[in-house]
Amino acid sequence: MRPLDCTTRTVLTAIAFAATALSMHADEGTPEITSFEPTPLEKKIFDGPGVTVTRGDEIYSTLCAGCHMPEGEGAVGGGMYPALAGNEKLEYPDYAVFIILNGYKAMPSFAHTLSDEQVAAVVNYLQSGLGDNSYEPVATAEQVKLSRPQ
Amino acid sequence: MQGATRRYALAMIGATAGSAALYSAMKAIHHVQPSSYKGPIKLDGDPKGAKVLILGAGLAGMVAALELRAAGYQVEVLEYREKAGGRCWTLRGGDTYTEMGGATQHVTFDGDNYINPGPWRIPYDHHGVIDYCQRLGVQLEPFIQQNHNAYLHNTKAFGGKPQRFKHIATDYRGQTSELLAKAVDQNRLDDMLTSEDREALIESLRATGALDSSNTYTAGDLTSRYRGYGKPPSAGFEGAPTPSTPLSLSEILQSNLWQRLADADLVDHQMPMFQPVGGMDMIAQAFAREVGDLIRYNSKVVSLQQDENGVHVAYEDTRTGDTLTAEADWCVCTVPFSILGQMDHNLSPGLTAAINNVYYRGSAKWGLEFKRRFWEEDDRIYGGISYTDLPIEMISYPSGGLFTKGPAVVLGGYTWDDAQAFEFNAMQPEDRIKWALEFGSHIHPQYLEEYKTGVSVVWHKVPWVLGCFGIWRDKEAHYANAVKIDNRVVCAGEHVSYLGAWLEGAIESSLDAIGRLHDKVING
Repeated sequence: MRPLDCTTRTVLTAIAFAATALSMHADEGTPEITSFEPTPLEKKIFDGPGVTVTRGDEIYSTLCAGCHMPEGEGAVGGGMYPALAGNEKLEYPDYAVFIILNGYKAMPSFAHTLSDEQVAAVVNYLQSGLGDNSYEPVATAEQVKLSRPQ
Repeated sequence: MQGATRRYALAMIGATAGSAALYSAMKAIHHVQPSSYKGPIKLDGDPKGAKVLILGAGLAGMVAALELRAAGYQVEVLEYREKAGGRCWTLRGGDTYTEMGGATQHVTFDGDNYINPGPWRIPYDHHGVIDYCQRLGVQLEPFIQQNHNAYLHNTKAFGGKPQRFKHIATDYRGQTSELLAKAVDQNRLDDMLTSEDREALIESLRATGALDSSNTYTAGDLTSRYRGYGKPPSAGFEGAPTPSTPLSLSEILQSNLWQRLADADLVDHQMPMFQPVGGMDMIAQAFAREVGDLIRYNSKVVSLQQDENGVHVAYEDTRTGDTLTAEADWCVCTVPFSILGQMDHNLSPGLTAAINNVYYRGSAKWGLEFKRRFWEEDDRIYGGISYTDLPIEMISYPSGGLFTKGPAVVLGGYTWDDAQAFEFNAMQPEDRIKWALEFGSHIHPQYLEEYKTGVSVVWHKVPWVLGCFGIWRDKEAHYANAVKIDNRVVCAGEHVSYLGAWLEGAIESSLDAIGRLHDKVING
C-alpha cells in the first residue's frame, strides 16, 4: 500500500522540522544524517503507488541500482550481482527485456512492477547511458508488450 | 444432525469418551492441526565414522550439526560469515554491518537495546523452534503482536490522523453486525437460514457486536465498554464516565483501515507469540555453544562437486584469500539457492532446475532508537504494531523492557510491497533512515524530537543471502527435486519447506533432510 495523496507539501513540511531537530544531535555524533532535503528524484519516488519514475536513468537509480549498484559496477559478497556497465549481453535489448520480465535465478521478475514503457526506458538506459555502455538503444514498449510472459 | 451443532457433538464425545477420544474426533474433522515436528529426532544405527560436510551455519546447518554429531557422524561446517546464525540475526550497540556495495553502518544503540533484522516473532505452534529453545536454554518471552491501543493510519482518511485499533475494530464489527442483524430481522436472508438459526444469529450479533435490543450499534455505555469511553470512568464526585461517539461505517469503509483488522487472526500471527529475551540471535548463540567447535567461519564455498568417492568442496578463506578444500562422504547444503545457483557445482539437472526456480524476495527493516519510550509514556502503547499506508508499512513497539526509562528501539518499518522494497534497497543507509523518520513522524510527531540513532537492513543487499527468503516460481514442478537426496548431497533450509521465511521451516527442513540422509547411510 502506498499513499495516493501523500502530498509533497506534507512531506516537505515535516522535513523542514527534521532538519532543525537533527542538527541538535549532530554534536553527540550519533546520527550521520546531515540533511533532510530529498533530492528531486527522491521527491518523485514516493509520489504515488508503484514505481512512479518513468525515465530510464531514474528507473535504474530507483530499482536496479540496489543490487547492480549505482554505476552498474555490480557487487560481490557471499554471492555476486553482475556488473551491467560494460556487459556485452546488453548489445541487443532482447536479453535484458527477457530477464526483467521473467526474472532469472534469484532475481525477481519486474513484470508486475514496471509498465511496457518503463521496461523499454530502462533497457535503453542499460544499452546506452549506464557507465560507458554505448550500444544502440532500440528497445520499444511494443517489443516489451510482445515479450511479456502469457 | 439438524439442530445439533458440531460443538455440541464434540462436547458429547468429550463427556462420554474422555479427552483422548475428543482429540481424535477433533483431528478427524480438522479442528486441530498437529505440528509436523515430532520431538527430538532419533537417528538410530551406527554411521561407522561417516563424515558429513555441512554448508552454512544458520539454524538449518546447526540443527544438522548438532543432531548428526550426536548420532555418531564426523561433522564439519563451513560458514561464510564471521559468526553463526545466518538470518537468525540481531544487531546491537557496537555491531558493524557492511552491505553489498560496501556501505557500512555502525550500530550505536544504548545498553542491551537491539533490533532483529530477520525473523522477529515465533508462533505458538512452531514446536520445533520452541523445543530447541527449551533444550538449549533459550529464554522466551511474549511477543506482543496484537495491541488494541496501537494505531491504524491512512494518509487519506480521517484527515491523516492515526486511529486507535480498538475504535476501528469495534465500530467496524458493531456496524456490520447491525446491518446483518437488521437484514435477518427484515427477513431478507430467509432463504439462507432456518428460523431457529435466524433467531440465534441475531442474538449472537447483539452479543459480539455490542448491539442494543433494537439491533442498533449506537453511542452509549454498551459500545463504550468495548471502544472506550469519551471521559473514562474514575472516582470522586465527577467519576461518572461519558460515552464515546462511534466513527461512521462509511468513513471506516472508505478509509481502508479495515485491511489490517484480521492480521493477528492469521494462524501464524495469533497471540501468544514469542521472542527470545535479548534478541533472536540468542537462538543462534545457543546453537553455537553446542556446535561452534565444528564450524569454520569466514569460509566462502566456491565449488561443490560429488562423485562415486565422495563430496569435494573448494572454499575461500575470506580473510587470507587462500583457497582450501574439504572432503566428506555426504553433504547437507543449507546455502540459500540465491548463492548456490551461482556456485560451480555438478548437482543433477533436476536439482539444478529447482535451485534456479527460486527467486529471493526483497524487504526493508529499520531499528530506530529513541531517547525515551514516548509511545508508552504519551500514547499508552505497550508493544504491538501500528500499521500505515506509508511506505514503511508498520511500526512495531518493543515487547521487552516495558515501562523502563531511557532509550529504546522500535522496528521503524517493515516493507512487503515489491516496489517499495526495491526503492529502499536502492537507497544508501542514511537516506533510508531519513525516510523512515519522515514517514514515522506522520504517526508519532515525537519522532524527530526524540530520535537518537538507527540502522536499517535491506535484504537484497545482505551479502550472505542476497534476499529475504526464497519464493518458488513453480513449486509443484520443482520442489520434490529440491527435497530429495541428490546422490550424496541433500539441501535444507526455509526455502526447502512449506514454512518459507520462518525459522521453523529451516529447522523442520533440516530434520527431515538428515532423517532421510541417515536412513540412506544406514540402510543404503
